[in-house]
Amino acid sequence: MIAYTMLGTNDKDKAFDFYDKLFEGTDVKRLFKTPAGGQFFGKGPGQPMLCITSPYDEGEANFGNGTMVALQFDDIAEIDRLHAKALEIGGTDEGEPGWRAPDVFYGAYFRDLDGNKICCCKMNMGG
Amino acid sequence: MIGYVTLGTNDLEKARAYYDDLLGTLGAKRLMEMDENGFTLYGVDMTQPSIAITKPDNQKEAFAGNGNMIALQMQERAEVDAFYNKGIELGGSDEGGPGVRGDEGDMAFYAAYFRDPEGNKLCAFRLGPA
Repeated sequence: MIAYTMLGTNDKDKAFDFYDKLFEGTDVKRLFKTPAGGQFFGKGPGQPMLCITSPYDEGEANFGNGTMVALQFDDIAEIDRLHAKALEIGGTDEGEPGWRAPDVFYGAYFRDLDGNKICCCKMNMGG
Repeated sequence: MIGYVTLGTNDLEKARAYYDDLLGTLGAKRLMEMDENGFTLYGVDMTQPSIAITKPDNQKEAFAGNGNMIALQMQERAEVDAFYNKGIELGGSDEGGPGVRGDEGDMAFYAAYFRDPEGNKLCAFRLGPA
């Protein structure tokens, strides 16, 4: 259903650098740019992508309250590593890694440099 | 890569009614409803990335992010038109009607943009020829 989701930034270079560092060592990489200079990140064809961009209205970017992108991983050690990495490169903590629902949902939460909330999670829900 | 994306709401029942009808047109339904924050997950099934509406976890007012958008892929241009029209009819607001952005052709990007009643921006698009 979701092809891609966009998050706004007021400093594209800094934001791209944040996500480059965050995704280093995972199979997520830079894909293509939008005409407006937004950067798509993803695993490749057929997979939903994340795009970091300045807002279309050319106004100031702000995060949405209640808005969050949950990125899925298979390995909880990877989630622990990504959460620690995010904080190390300037992100802010929104919840330590842990099982939110035992054996069903493992999540770690942080915000990027622009305040966008990201969750790294593993879901055992028949998916 | 994306498991799900959440959007904030200040009126859970209105938002549920909106997304029941809107995402129902794509064959998506409520897959999960939690007491905590009223988190309501919509999807076709649990194997595909889904959309959730929720009251913010920090219990403060929900608001839309500028620069944030969820883009949903359709198989036909007529589906883009129908999804956009439904989004508006249910109380959303226009952010750019259906049409080709860029060049027409085999990789044409036919898209329509709107906001839900609380300002969260959505896009429906079809990639390919008419």
